Parts: sequence; structure tokens; C-alpha cells
Amino acid sequence: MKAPKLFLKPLLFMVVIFGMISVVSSVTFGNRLKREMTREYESKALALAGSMAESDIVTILSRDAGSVQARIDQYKQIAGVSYVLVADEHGEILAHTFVPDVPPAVRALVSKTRDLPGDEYILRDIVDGDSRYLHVARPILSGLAGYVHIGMDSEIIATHIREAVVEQQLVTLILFAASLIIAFIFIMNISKPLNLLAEYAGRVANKDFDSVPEINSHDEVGQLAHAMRSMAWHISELVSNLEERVRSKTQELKEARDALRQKVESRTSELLRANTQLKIEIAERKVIGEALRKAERKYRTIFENALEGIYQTSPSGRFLSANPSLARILGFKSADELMGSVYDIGTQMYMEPQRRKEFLRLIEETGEVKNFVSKVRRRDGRIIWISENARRISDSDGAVMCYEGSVEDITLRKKAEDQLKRQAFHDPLTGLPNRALFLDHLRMAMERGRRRKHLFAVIYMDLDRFKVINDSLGHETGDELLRNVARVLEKCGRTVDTIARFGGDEFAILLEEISAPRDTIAIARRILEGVRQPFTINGNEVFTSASLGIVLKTDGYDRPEALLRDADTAMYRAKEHGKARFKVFNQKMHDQALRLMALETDLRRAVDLREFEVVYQPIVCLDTRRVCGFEALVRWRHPEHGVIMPGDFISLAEDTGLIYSIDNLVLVEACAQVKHWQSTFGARMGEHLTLNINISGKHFGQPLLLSQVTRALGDSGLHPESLNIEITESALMDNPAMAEEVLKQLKILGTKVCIDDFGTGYSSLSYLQRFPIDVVKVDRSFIDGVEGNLDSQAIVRTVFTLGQSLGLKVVAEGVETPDQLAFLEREGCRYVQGFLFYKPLSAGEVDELLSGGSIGS
Amino acid sequence: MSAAFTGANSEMGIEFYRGLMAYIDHFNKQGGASGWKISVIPANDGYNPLPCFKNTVDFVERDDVFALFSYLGTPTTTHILPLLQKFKERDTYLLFPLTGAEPMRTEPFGKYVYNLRASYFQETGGLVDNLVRVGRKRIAVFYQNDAYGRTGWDGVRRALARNGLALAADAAYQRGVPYEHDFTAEVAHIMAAEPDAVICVGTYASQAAFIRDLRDAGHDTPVAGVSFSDSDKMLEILTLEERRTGRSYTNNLICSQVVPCYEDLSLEGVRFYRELMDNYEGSDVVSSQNYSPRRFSYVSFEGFLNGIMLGEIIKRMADAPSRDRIPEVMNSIRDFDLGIGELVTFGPNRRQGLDTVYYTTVVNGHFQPIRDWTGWNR
Repeated sequence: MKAPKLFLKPLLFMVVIFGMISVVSSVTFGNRLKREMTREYESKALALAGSMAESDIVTILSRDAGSVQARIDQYKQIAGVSYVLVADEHGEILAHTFVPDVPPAVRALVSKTRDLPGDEYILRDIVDGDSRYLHVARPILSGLAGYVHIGMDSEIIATHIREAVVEQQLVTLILFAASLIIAFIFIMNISKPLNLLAEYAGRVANKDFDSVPEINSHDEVGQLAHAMRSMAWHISELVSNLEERVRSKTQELKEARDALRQKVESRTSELLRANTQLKIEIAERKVIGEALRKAERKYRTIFENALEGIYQTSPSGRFLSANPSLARILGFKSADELMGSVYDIGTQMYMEPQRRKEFLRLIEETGEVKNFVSKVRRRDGRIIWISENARRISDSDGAVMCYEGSVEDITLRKKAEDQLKRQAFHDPLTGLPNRALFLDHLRMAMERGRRRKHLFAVIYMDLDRFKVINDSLGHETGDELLRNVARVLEKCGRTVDTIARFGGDEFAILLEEISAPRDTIAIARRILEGVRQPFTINGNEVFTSASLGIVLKTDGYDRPEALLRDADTAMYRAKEHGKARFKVFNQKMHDQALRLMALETDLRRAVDLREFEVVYQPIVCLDTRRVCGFEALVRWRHPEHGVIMPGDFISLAEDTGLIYSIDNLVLVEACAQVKHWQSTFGARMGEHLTLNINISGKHFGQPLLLSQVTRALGDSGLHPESLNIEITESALMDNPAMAEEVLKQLKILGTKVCIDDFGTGYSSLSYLQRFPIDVVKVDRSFIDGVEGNLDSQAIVRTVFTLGQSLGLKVVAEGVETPDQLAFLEREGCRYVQGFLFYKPLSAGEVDELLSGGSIGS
Repeated sequence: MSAAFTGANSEMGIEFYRGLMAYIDHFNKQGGASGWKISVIPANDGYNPLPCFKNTVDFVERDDVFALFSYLGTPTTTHILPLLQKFKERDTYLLFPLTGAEPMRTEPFGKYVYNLRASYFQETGGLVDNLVRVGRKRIAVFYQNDAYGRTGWDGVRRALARNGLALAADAAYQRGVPYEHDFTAEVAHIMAAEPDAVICVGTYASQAAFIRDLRDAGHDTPVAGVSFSDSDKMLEILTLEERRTGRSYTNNLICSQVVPCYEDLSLEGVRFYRELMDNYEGSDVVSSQNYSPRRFSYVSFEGFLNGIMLGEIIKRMADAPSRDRIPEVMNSIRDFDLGIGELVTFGPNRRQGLDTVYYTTVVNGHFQPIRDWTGWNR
């Protein structure tokens, strides 16, 4: 049930009144209670004190503190009593109930009481810490026997008052709630008929004059109801009169209106038809227009947002329209600014005015231009590269209306292309052109030479000892040296010349437009001189020199590669002749080159046809004068030139890579042969035969070698201990780390390692310790010299001493005279090979030798 | 007999009972006095006055006992004194209560009580005199807030006044607190006055607790206690505490006793006591309690002597024992030898048989008589 609004004010009123009643009654009640209880406690305390003072007078007089204590302990148990204290007439405390001691406030009162006259008593409120006490002091025998002090707990009074006030307020609250309910019922009784009347008034306004509310009270509400009822009756009469008149007039109007309506209807239907027609037309146009706008928006968006610049230009060189990207590319703030500023594209945009003409020419010829790359100047003056695609727009008569195209900023791409181009044709270390560019220039020079009289020369250059510098001073120093050399070459050359680095320490110089060969020679001398000067690199003075090969007669070459090859050949010839010099390529060299080429061809065939045969030079043990092994040597039986010694084809074989096959061929054949001898001639002399195989330095570096040796040993059944792999000092020292690894692998296989031509190369002996070497061969050049040359004698002697101390087997090769042998024997040599004993023998000869048993010299 | 067999002072009651029963059993076994045997009715009052009062009324009205005997404690015993007056028509006398309080010895009720032991006034007076003599003039009192504590407090005060001195400080405590109670505030209150010595008038539990907190606070001030503090139990508590914490609690302790040291085998009474105690087989008065009896103690010795005295009284009226003959028999006791080196004498004006106070201190964990006070010189 919703409370009537009339109820709000009485509610507020009651809250205020009851609140006031509650507060006032609590205060007055609490005060009265406090007064009463305090009085009660006071009288209680006084009565107790009096009782004590009189009834225990004997105990107190006897000053028996224990007895007094026993008494006051009993008093303390009385409700409300907090403490009891008895003092004598001098204020000396006789007994008390405090724990642990008498509080100062009480003690002060006790001493004050001493001065109390007669039978008066003291009544005080005492506060001790959190507690309040009602303190009563009463004299005993008018103070002659002392005083009794009793403390009543005031807190109990306060608790009582609190409880009483709460009770009081609870009653007030209940009364308040009851009054509230009664008032609510009263107000409901008043508001209900008023509500009914209000609803009725509402209905009368809606012309509902029936359903009069039944209100029969005789008070003000009843009168109001009666007045309303009569008012409603009057209104209802008035309304019905008015309605009647309105009805008759309405009828007349209706007839007139019907006539009019018929006329209007016929006109309207005509208009409707016309209208429908129009509407259809409008709708159609709307659809078309919308589609057009959509398409226009779409293309506009593409135009505005395209990354490429898009434009229309007039044939006269103005922009007719341009998109924001074009303005951006050309450095304008907006397309409008671009169109306003540029009135002649040819002069204002292109760096080269001919570009516009070219553009117009192309577009007139083909109707379009594609990837039209030009340099243009931006508004801020910066030069950029652009690429244009455009086409001509003509009207129906074929007359040019405008050109339409797109522009792309390709500056970055262009730069990247240039960079790539440069990288592709230049040596990054020295910045010089590389071989490709050099060949290109050379090709052009050759072409020019073919067309007109144009003299040019080619110099091929290689630094001497560069590898040593690189190895000993480091790659950085090597690189720096190359850069320095490049600068020297640039200084020596002229602007028309092309100076290129081919990689490594190889350079090539193309000298153009020379008047006479001596110009070239002069330049070559300058280069030699320049390179010979010391270079200061990282604080070190580095000396080097160069060998130059020159081709002066440059006509008659078809291919630039051939020309370069001849320059290279000349350069090698210069090196052969002692370095730090130049050689001009001549006919002789040409012939030699041709021969070499022919030999190469033959050698390839020889490998295919196995035109090689193995001969065996016996190694003699001087202790027994018996053959104890063989060095396998290769011979090429050329079908035309007869037998060719290894010295004439091995370097060629190394250059062409045929050496691997040749070495392997010898290895396989010799292994099988020696095994054969070992088993054929058995215990008598064959089984200890050893085999020395020469392995080229180039071959030594190949991983292939190990597998070849393994296979040869496996196939032949030769014991690995019987096989000596002979290599040169230089093969070891070219790449010591690799050599060490290969030697280790060979040792694992079980073969022995022999150093050929010991003493000719590096004088460092440390490698004898570093590498697992078994045999050393003293080079024949030293053996040759032992007759008379003291140096050679010393060297040979040293080698034997060294061999002994390091536990190496030392073999002297090339022993040809008895004197040599005598010297060697004197020096403790145990193994020799040479013509003095045997020249290299064919397998058949060895068969004879071994079977005949004719061994020894 | 009403005594505390439970609560904070229970062990005292138990020891007291054991001591007196050791003799009473012996007495009865020996055939009593002309066939008269003694029966002791023990009642527990828990060291509280009201139960003690009720026990007394029951003893008189229900059990019609021969005498009230060996009550224990001042507040309890003091509380029943008016009953003696009330039942004076029935010649109800209180024999040898274990208390040194004055009301037992003075008017109006002293005439119904016969004491054996020296009074608290004598104990405290002796302690004060001895302490003052060695220069310890600032004396504080820690006491129980009841008639017992007040009597001890009064005794100290009077003894000091006799020497022209006043109390340095005093602090009371609530009766019945256990040993675990924290007395640091009371220690601080007393030590604020910087006393030369503290006399405790309390029970073993409270006194031990006070000594513990005093020593924990770093004071080595001598502490003296009276006989009622059951020094044996107190020493046991403090020794346990020493063992637990590793600190020292038993130095500078003085205990006054009203019976001689039970270790003094030169005394015939002591030998007799020890013999009977070792042979005592009586059941404990409170069976449920988890308590292992002490072999010997001052309290049981006092009970034992009480027993002898009671036996002597019965012997002296063995022809016809009756309550009304008690004053006559008591007055006849002159120079009676308990075998403790001091003779017992009662008379019309002498209601206390013994006057000697013995002073002991703890040496190496055991009580020894004090022969020389100069150790506490100041």
C-alpha cells in the first residue's frame, strides 16, 4: 500500500517531537538516576565506614594490622566496594586492600583526613587511571583512633545510568512506532474519498457524467462531493445541447463536401497518372546519377591516393591536372601549387630540355611512351630520377587533347643500380676496375684498333714475393700493400689508360692511344721504379718488386683473353729471368706457348691411353751392398717424341691437374710390382724391399690422396710399412697445418714419409721435429758438390748428424762417382741411390736383377 | 584439620599433613595413650577463608571433633576465630595452627588458640634486626594482600620503627596467584625505592615468582622470606627455573624458619622425625594430585612436632580425655622436650610454646643455617 502524500508532513512532525522527547527524557532521567544512585552509594559507603569505625573499634585500637586486614577483606566483598583502607590517628596506614600499593590520589586524601575536625566525614570523587571512585572517609572515635576510608566504584553507577537511558529510549521508540501506525490509518481515511473525487473530476472532463462516487459523510469532504455532483449535472446538460446543434450543421457541410469531392477525385486521378510517370523518370535518373558519382568517387580515390604521380599535360607543356603524389615527387606542397607554378615542363622540370622534345617525338610516333627515364629538378633544387609512362589522348577528330601519364620516383633504384654496376665492375679493395671491366675496355680498344689506326698495349703485372709478405706480415698489411701499389699504378698511368686488378697480386694495365712502343716501355719502367720504392705500412717499411709482361703487338688478336694470356706468359718469363723486370711478348714465346698447348693436348691423351711407364731406381744399403728398395719414377713414352722425362711434363701436369691421375697410376702400378717382387723373391732378398713414391706438392694437398693410397695398398696387398711417400720440402711448408694433418693420416695408414731434395728449400729444421718424418733424402746437388765444395761437404755432414740424432733414415741420391761414395761412407751414410750403382730400371730388368742375384755394383 | 590441599599453596598443606600423620600413625601403632588413638580428619580449604569456615562448622557440628588442629594459613585461620568464641560452650580449641599471625596470639580470640611455633612478628622482627645490624636499613616488603601478608608487613614495620626506621617501599599482591604470574611491575615499584633488602610475606609460588622477576630485572638484592613460604618448595621451583634458563635465582636468599634444620642430626627430634618420615606409609591426602612427596621438609617437620604435641596432650589426659581439660593440660606443659634443643612451655599467659626463629640461606642448592650475617654487610 502506497503511503498518501498527506502523510509526509505528520511523519516529519512526529520524528521531531519524539526525538525531542527522547533526548529530554533521557537527560533528565539519567541525571535523576545519577543523583539517586550517588546518594544511595554515598549512604552505603557512609554506613559501611560507620559500621567499620564502630564495630571493629577494638581491633583497630589494638593496632593489630593482621586483624584489621582480615576485617577489611570482608568489607571488600560487599558489592560496589572497591577498596577499604584504615589509617591511625596520625594518618599512618594500618591496612588496605590495594594491590600492589595505595594510589597517590588516595594517599593524598588519607593524609588530608588527619586534619578533619570531630565527626565530620569526607565525600569525594576520585579518579585513578581509568576508574572513578566515590571515596568516603570517616573518623573512628572522632579521629582519635584513626580513620576508615572506603572507595565505591562509580563505574557501576555509570553502567546503571547507561542501561536506564537505553531502556528509556527503547520505550520512546516503541511509542513512536505505535503513533506512526495510528497516524497512518487516520490519514488514509481522509485521503481515500479525496482520491475518489479527484478521479471523478477526471472522468467528468472526459464527458463521463455517470458513476458518481458514493460519499455520504457530512463533513467538508461530503459537501465537496455534493457540490461536484450538481456541477457535473449542469455541465452534462450544456454539452448535450451543443452537440445537437453541431450535428445538424455538420450534415449540411457533408453534402456540399461530397459534391466537391467527386470533382476533385476525377482531377486527381489524372494528375496521379502524370505524377507516376514523372516519378519513374526521376528514379531512373537518380540511379544513373548515383552510379556515375560512385564511379567518379572510385577513380578520384585512386587518382588521389596513388603512389605514382598521375598527370594530364597540354601539348604546350602545362599541367592540366595532377595528383598529390606528383606534387610530392616534384617537391610541391599540393597539386594546385604544382599546376599553378609550372607553365613549361620542358624547361622547368627536365634537367635536359631535349627530354621534352624526345617525349613529344616518341608520343607522336607511337601514341605512348614507356619507362621514359629522365633526370628532373625538384622544386627545392634536388635532382631526382623519374620514370614516366604516358599516352596521347585525342579527340574524335584525332587532334591531340592532352597527354596522360604516370610518374615514378626511381632515384633510389637508380642509385642502387649504379652501386651494383660499380660493384660488378670494380675491385672493392683497391677501387680499380676488375677483370670484367678491363676485358670490356680491352675489347673496345681492340675494336677501335680494327676500325682505325689506334695503338694500344697491355701490361700484365704480378708482385714478387707477395705471398711471403702476406704470410709473414698478415693479410691486412698485404691488402694495404695492394692498395698502395694500386695508387702507384694510377700515378704511372694516364687518364685514358685502364688500370685493373685481377685479384691476388695481379694487375693489368691497358695503355691506349700510345704513339710508339717506347711509350709503353717508359711507363713499364716507371711502374717498376714506383713499386720498388719502400712502402710504409703500419709503421713497417715494406719492400716489394713487380714482374711485368707486355704485349706491344696487339693487332691480330681475335679475343681479348688471348691477348691477356700472352701478357701473362711474358710476365712469367720475366719472373723466370729473375723477377723485378719486364718482358715483352715475342714470337719465340708465342711458339713456346703453342708448343706447350700441344704438349698439354698430348698429355691428356697420354693419361687416357696410359702412355706412362714406371721405372725403378734401386736404393742400396751400403752395409750389405744389397738392393733394399726402389724409388718409382715415371716415364712418358710419347708416340712421336719418344721417352719424355718427368721434368718436361710434370709441371704441365700439375698446372692442368693431370698430375693426380699420373701419380695414382704410378702408385697403383709400383705397389703391385713391388708386392709381386716381395712375394716372388721371398725371404732371400725380396721381402724387405721398400718402395718410394713421389707425390707432387699439388697432389699432396688433395684429400683424394689418402683414399688413393689406401686403395693402392689394399688392392696390391703391399704392407704399408714398405711404402715411403716422398714429398718435397715446399709441399710441406706451403700449408704446414694441412701438411701436418695429411702426414698424421698417412702415419695412421702405416706408411712412411720421406722428404725429397732435403736442404734445398727452407733452411728451417724445426719441421723435422714438427712433422712425423721417417726418411730424408739428401739432394743430389749437394752430393754433386762433395768432391771439392767444402760447403756441400759441411751440409751433407750436418744432415747425417742430424739424421742420426733425430733417428731418421738418410738416403743420399745421385751418387755417381766412387769418390762421392767414399765421402758418404766416411760420413756414415747407409743408403744411397745413383748411377754408380744402378740407373733406373724397367720392371723386367729388376726381375732379372733380383732373380740373378747379381746385386751390388 | 583444614588446610590447602589444592591450589597455589597445596604442596604446603600436603607436606604439613604428611609430617603430622607420620607421628600420629606412629602414635596409634604404638597403642596410643592408654588405648586412646588419634584420628585426624583432613579437609581442603584451598587456602580460602570461606571453605575453611565451612569446614570448621562441619568439624564442630557434624563431626563433634576433640579439637581443631593444625590449621594452615593466616587468612583462613583468622576467619574462623569468631567461631571459637561462638562454640566456646563446647570448649572448642584450635591447636597449633601453621601461622604466625597475631590474632591467634592476642585478644579477643587468642584465648581459644594454642600456638606452638614462633610468631610472624618474631620472624620478621628477627629478620629486620639482623639485616639492620649488617647495615641493610632500607627494607622493603612484598606481601600478600590479606591478614597473613598484613601481619608480616606490620611485623616488619614495627621492627623498623623499633630501630627508628621506616619502610622503604611496599607492594601487595593478590592471594592465590600462580608461579607463572608476572611481577615485573611490583619489582619495579619496589626497586624504585632502592632498598637494601626485600622481605617477602607470601606463599612459595608468589615468592618464587617475585624472586625470578627481581633477578631477571638484574637486581641481586637479598630477599628474605618467612616460614610460611615453604622454603623447600620455593627452592625446588627456583632450582628448576635455574636449570631451565641458566640464570641464577638462589643467591642472596634468606629464609626464617620456626623449626630447626631437618639436616641437623645432632638433634634427637630430627633423628626421630627422619626415622618416622622414612617409614611413613600413609596414603596421600589428595590422591588425584600429581605430586611426589618430599622426603623431608621444614613444613612436614613442623607438622611432625605438632603431632608430638597433640600426642603429649592426649597422653596427659589419657585417663579421661575431654575437651574441657585442654586448658588444664596445656598449662601443665612446662619445659617439655621435643628433642629440638628448645623446651616447650605453655602457661596461662603463654599461648605459644616455642619462640626461636632459625635463619637459613641457600648454599649450593641446599638450605643451611646462617651462622654469620656479615656476609650481607653493607
